[in-house]
Amino acid sequence: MTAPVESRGYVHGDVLVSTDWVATHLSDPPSASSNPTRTCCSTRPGTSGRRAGGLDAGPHDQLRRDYLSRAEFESLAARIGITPGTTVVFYGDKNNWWACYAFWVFQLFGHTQARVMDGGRLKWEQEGRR
Amino acid sequence: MTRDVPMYPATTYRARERQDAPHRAFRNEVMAHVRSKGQLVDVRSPRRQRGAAAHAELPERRRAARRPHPWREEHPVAARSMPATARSRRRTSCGRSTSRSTL
Repeated sequence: MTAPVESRGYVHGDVLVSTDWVATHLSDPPSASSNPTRTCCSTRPGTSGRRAGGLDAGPHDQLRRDYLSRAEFESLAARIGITPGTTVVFYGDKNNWWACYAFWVFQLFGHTQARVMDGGRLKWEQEGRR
Repeated sequence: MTRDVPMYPATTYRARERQDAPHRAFRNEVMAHVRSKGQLVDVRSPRRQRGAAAHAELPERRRAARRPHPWREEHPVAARSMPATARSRRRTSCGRSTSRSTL
């Protein structure tokens, strides 16, 4: 069995959050918090379901096959309705493959309020969550 | 789970310029790293690392086999394989991240 996130010895232990953490933080009404939490589903678009309220965020440039430019990142962030104070939680398929990619892209633009949901979509689904 | 795409009110977001340097290595940096016997980690599956399968979904990454290819004679530092999606691990862990001790 895999140990809980906090006992796995990570150096940056706050980056990876459990499905319980996500469920708890998302139950706060958005207006009640100055630092809201948003989930972003980083999978290939249209390939799978998402947790209720999860957004699409595939931050790569289709033409140049590079990371987004600053303008493209700003436009993505505006479209999904986040501000620099929003905590963004990424989750995806295949051991959070694209979720981790998205996490790093957000780091390149200084959006440090970012997390990855341990187990991704698979674990969320297996736990029967919405 | 749902297939509904939620809508949130759009915002204005001012980002800083992208800063690649702290996290991203470019070709010449990788070359220098390899020449100084630095370690590379290949996170593809063993089949893909061996060159037995190319990546079907990502045409830009359809380079099979391992790096560094052109310099292998001169610098026999093959990338070490550490697949990100081991089947056995996926089955036992529901896709959860590997612990520090396992890594």
